[in-house]
Amino acid sequence: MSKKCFLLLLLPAILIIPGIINSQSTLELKPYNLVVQGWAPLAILRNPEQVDILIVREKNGEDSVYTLFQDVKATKAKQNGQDSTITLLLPQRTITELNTLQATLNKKTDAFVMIVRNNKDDKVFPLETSTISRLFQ
Amino acid sequence: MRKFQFLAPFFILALCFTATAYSAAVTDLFLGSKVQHSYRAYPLEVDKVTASMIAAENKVDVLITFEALLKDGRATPVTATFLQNIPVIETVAVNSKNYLILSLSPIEAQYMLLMQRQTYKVILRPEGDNAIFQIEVVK
Repeated sequence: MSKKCFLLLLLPAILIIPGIINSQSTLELKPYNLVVQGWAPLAILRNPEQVDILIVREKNGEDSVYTLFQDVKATKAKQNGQDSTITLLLPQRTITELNTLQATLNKKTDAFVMIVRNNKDDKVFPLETSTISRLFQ
Repeated sequence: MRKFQFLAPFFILALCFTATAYSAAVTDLFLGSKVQHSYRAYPLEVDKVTASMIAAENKVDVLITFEALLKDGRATPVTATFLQNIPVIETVAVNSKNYLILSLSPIEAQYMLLMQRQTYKVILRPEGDNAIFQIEVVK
């Protein structure tokens, strides 16, 4: 096989293979449109970013905060009147948790926050739930 | 054509410079490139006066006032310095609301969400003062 022929065969492979790998890694991820009343919690999302989502829940009569999702791809927030919409790319199995999040948001928008991660930081680790009593123990 | 060959290095240099400037401008738009590795960018709403005196790269302390239950069962308001020496990544104004984008660790971010439901105040630290003090709770 001539050198030219080999290069001609190699070129499509270089162009196609990364696309296949990338599509496989995002295969399980589904877009989910999260609607938030008001603009406040999404103020920092002016561009697509990798985010963590924190949520407040009442447990045994005390507010507690935990990290619901870590390292989620979020699109730029779009504002439609009083509502803001953001698309999250998440695994299908987390849809139930997302519905819980949406239900919480419909009641109280100050019950969650999206925090932006460093774009090269993909570390995910278990975080304990935070409560006031635990802070002042 | 040959007489313009001497311009080739300048052309390549100009191209490199443009590419670097473009890449820097694009990177600057993304908050994810400004936040330190293993830290998080946290938006904290503040009043107009606080926002006007704080700028990016300043450092702040966060004070919290909340109702604490005493041993005898009475509730009393207490103020505590909850966070010290927190870097401000940037300040943002959206829909007449002002935000400080703070650089917090993941666990600090959790406590911040919990605490911002109470009364809080952000205070500016002097430049170069990075000392962390043991400050007792005031009641």
